[in-house]
Formats: sequence, C-alpha cells, structure tokens
Amino acid sequence: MKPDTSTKGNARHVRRLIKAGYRILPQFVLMLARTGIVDPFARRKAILPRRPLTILAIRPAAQDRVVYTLRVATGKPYAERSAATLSVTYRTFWGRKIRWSEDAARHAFFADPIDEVTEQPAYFDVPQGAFWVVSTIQRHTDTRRIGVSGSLKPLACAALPQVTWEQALLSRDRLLLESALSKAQATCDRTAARQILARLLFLLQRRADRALLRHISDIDAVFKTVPTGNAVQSDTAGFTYDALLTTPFKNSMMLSRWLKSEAIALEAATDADTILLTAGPHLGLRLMAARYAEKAVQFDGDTQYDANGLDWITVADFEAVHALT
Amino acid sequence: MVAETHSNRAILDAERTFDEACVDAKLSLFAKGVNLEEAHLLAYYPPVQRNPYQNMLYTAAFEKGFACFSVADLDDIGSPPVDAPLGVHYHWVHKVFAGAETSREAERMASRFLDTLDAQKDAGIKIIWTIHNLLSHSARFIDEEIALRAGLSDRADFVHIMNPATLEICARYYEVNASKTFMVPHPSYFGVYGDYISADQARFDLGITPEDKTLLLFGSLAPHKGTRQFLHNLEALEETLGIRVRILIAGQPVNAEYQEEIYALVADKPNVFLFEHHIDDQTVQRLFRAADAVVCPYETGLNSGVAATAATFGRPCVVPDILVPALVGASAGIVGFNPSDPSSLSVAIGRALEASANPATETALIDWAKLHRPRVMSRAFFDALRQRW
Repeated sequence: MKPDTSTKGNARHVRRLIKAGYRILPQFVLMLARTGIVDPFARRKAILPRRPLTILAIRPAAQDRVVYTLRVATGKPYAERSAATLSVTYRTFWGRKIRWSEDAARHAFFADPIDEVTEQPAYFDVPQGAFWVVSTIQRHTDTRRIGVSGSLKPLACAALPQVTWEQALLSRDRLLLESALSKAQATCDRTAARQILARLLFLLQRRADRALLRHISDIDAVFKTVPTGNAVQSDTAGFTYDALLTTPFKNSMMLSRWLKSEAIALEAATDADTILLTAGPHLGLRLMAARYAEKAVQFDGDTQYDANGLDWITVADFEAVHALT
Repeated sequence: MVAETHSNRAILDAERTFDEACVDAKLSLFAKGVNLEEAHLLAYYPPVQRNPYQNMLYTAAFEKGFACFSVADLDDIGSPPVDAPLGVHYHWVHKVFAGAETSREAERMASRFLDTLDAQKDAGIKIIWTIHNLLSHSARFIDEEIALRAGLSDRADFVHIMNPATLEICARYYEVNASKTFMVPHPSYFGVYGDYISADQARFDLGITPEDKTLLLFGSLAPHKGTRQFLHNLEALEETLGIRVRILIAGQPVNAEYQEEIYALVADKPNVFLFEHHIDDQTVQRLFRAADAVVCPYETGLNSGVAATAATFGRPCVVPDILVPALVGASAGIVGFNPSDPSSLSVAIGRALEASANPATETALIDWAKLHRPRVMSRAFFDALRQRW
C-alpha cells in the first residue's frame, strides 16, 4: 500500500507510529470494516486510513447515553488537536435517520504523542427512538497519519462517571465538563465555572463558552471593584431611587456596561450626593448603580435582596456590597 | 485547475520564463523612456506573497531605471538574453533550507546555494542582499545558516541594511563588510493598507469601550515573537500598570505545537482576544486603530514591519531596544525595552500608553510615516544602488 504522506516529516511520524505497534489495516479487515459491522480496531492498534471508517451497532441496553473509549496517537512530539473525529448518527429500527444536534453527535479527539497516549472516553446522549447507532471515525486531514486503538462499538453508559474536580478539569470530554459546569452554576460558583470554561475553551474553542467566560469574569470584576465611595453623605437624601432608570439588566448583557449605562442615567437624573434606596424590585442592581455613580445611599424599608433571574449573581454578592455602605 | 490559473502567484509573476522576464523588463524600461545604457534589471528571491515589503521597496523602480521581477527558482537565472546589467536581490534566505531534515542536508543545501551565487557572479551578475534579520526566525540549523549568511555576505556586491546597528549586531555571528553596505530605512505602510475606519468605530466593532486600555500584538504567531512570554507575564504587567488591559493578538499561526501553548495560555484570560488567522489588508486598520499601543515583545530583531505599521496608524509601539535605531525619527512613539529584563517591558508599555493619550504622538508618528512612505524609501533605495552599481 502506498503511503499517502506528502513530506519527509510525515513519513518520519508514520515510522514512529509503526515502531510503536500501529499498523496499516489489512485489506480484508478494511473490507470487513466497510460492511459496517466489524469493529476495525478490535484487538489491534491501527493507523487510520484516508477514508472514514463506519460501523453499525444496536443501541446498547436502551440507555440514554453511550460511551466510546479510544486511544488516539500521533507520531508528532506534541498533542494534535482534532486529529480524528468520531461522528454518531442514530436510526430507528426501520432505518429512518433521527434528527439530532450535530454538535452533540461529534467528538474531536486529540492525538497524543506515542509515549503519552491516554484513554479518551467520549460520551454521547442518545435520542429517543434510536435503535441503530452508526459510528464513523475519520482523520482530520489527508496527510496526517493517526494511530487508533480501542473500540468503535458504543458501550452502554447509565450515568456519567463520578469524577473528582481535578479529574473533570483534566477531562477532554464535553459532556463531563458541561456536567461540571452545571454543578458550578447550581451553586453559583464563579471561580469553578471560570476554570471549567477555560478548559472547554481550550478544547473546543466555542464562541458560547468564550462569551460566558467573559460574562462571568465581568461579574467577578464588577463585584470586586465596587467603588468604596467618596461621596459625603448628607442627612437627607436628595433623590428617591425606587426604580431602574434604564432597561433592566439581562443575562445577555455585560454587567459592567449595563451598570455604567444605569449610573450615567442616575447622574443625569440627580446631582444629589445622597440618594434614597427604597425596598422593591432590582434593589441589588440599584444599589450597585448607586455605588458606581459614587452616590452615598440611605435605605428605606426592608433591604431584602433578590437575585432571581440573574445568572451567576447571588444575594450574598449584593449583601457584600451593602456591607460596604 | 481554474483556481491554479488565477492564483495570486500567477498574477504576480505572469508565469513567464526568466528570459521572457528579462526581455519584457528591457522593453518596459524602453517604453518608459529610460536610456538603455542606464536600464538595470533586478531579479529578486525569494518572492513573498502576503508580506507587501517587496512591492513597497520596488515601487519606484521604473522611475529610477530599474525593472524588478521575482524568480521562484534560482536555477532559472542565467546570463540575461538582453544587453543590460542584471542583479539578483536576495531577501529572506531561510528558503534555502526548505525540506532539510538534518544538519548534513542543510549544509549541502547551503553549499549548493553558495555555488549558485558563485556561478551568478562568474556570469557577471551583481549580488544584492537585504539583511532583514540577524538569523531567520524559524532557523533550525543555526550553524549552517550562519555559514550561509557569512558566505552570502562575502559574495554580495551590495548589502542593504535598514537598521544602523546591523553590522554591529551581525558581527556576533558573521562579518558584513561596511564598504558594501548602504542604509535605507524600512518604509512605513503609508498607502499600503486600507485606512478609512475611525478609531471609535474600530473599538466599537471589537467591543472595546473608550475606557479600555488596549494593546495589540500583531504578526505571525511564532515563538520568536514573544507572545508566549508576554501572556505568561500578563497578570504581573497589569499589577505593575494598575489597570486591566485588553489584549488583541492577531496573526497567522506557523507552528501547531506553539499554537497549542497559546490556546492554553489565553483560555482563562477573557481579556485576551485571539484572531489566529491571516489578517487581510482591509482589516489591518481595524486592529491598529482600535489599539492604544502596539507591543512587539520580541527577544531580538533587526527591523520591524509591525512597528512601522503602528507608526503608520499613529500608534505608539513598544520594541526591543535593539530595534529603536531602525525607526529613527519616530521617537515620539517608539519605546524600547530590554528583553533580558521583563520588568522593563511593563515600564515601556506604561510609557507607550501615556504617549497614546497625547494627541501630539499620533500626529508625530503619522508625519514620520509620510516621510518614510514606500515611494520615498524606494527612490532612496534605487538611488543608493545606482550610485554603487
């Protein structure tokens, strides 16, 4: 078989793979694999061929999730991003393809240097009604030689494994990391969320993760740098700040920018140094805007803060700002 | 197939032979009214596509009686089929080592290259060399490249330098005969890149508020550019400056392993915006206009197109001390730092940000750019060459 390497460098990397026991798949195995029934990697370390390899399997044990565990190797001295991609499609018993999010049905593997190859579990959610699982693995480019071992057959997975925080941060699996992110969101742990998002960003380079990381970092920065206030407090408040002056903050905005906008509106509404904050909706946001407008504040009525509907912000955040006043 | 025919390369070199290029060159000079005794042909190697430097340097060629054309393969060059003096202008010499896997191969390639130069000299062809770098940025075979540069320096008839400190700096590795050299500074990029987007619009487009202090690191994402070290030290930099800065990093990755390091370093830094691709000529302005200052955190260097670009857009630029003399006249906005002292980079960035707040800085830098616009520098280059040739 003529190697499809285009440079001497690639040839060297292929030689390294072969030395490590990876082999070009024999023709008969390739032919059997292309029937879609035979697992091409079973009991062997194989070099991925140019054309994608597909196998067909029955969805295991009617589980909502399946897992593949593959090891992916490169002859290069560093881990290669998206060296191979596993795509999964689902079909009903009668063979009808089930529509399913493309993102949720793809997993890009890093190829590890030969001496550092680790198992890379890839978890996939399975849609209702799926009977057949069609798994396809392919190389990222024509010229790259990538070694694979493990199995292309999906295994049943009742639940995501319980992993420690450290393990989650080292994981390369999207579902595991997103599960850890959900836990961080449930406890509004911004520090944890930033770490997970940094890992997700490194692995997947998704815009949504980048936007969320910026959003959370912005909230962190806003609460860490609340102006301590230079305004001299008067005995009487010159303005009653009982409702937001601009469109209420939404999770789709950067908090710092919304606050700036509200603070500008507040400064335009009054030149009083001291303002009165009344109990009611958005009390926490009004307090923050007052602080950013560098106004002294007095409170009227109950100062119960509410963070409902504000992602990644807690009542404790507002209370900490309150304590500064 | 169609894409191949209409590629930029085909547009640039007209897919003609060396002989055809020489004849066309002579005819073009004749049509231009150049006295045929004064007509000079200048082949240049290696041609580069995305870096506009060669087009900038040769922009006044015809008015000065020179016709310049690229050659992709040195073996194509022979005695010109027309009666006109021919020179070969060498630029970045790393291409000589393309495909070399071992030192031995590199040595063989360097030797073959120098033999080619000898043959060209024997054929009466003048050798011109522009020293862009001390060594190639991606040099893998240091000893072989030093030997090659020494050999090229020895054989060159004329050596073009852009930094007055070039000979002193190069002397660490190879000698350059001062009597062969002539100094013509790096041109600015005045009129080269699109320049019509306002700073306010550029910042708005990139989501940068007027208050955000923004630094730009521009150019290919390669280890010699110092981006990795800069990102490592970013928190310390912000502590020293006492502000949170926005960082724009833009350029084409050249090394996958290095790029992975960059990805890892920026992943937890939401204030860093990475544009890891080639920046087209109309987008360059958006990045430079949006920035308060440009940072070239290089470990070394001789010349910097990025600093010249920054000056063109009126933005102060932080460069290694060694590069400051290369931008003589732009001192209002060129701030040096000592690469062996990381703290000096923070100080220099602080000074550059202060300079950016002064409207006089932008005016002074743009004035420098106008004085050093490509056509002016090109004329200076050909005048200097003609005096010696």
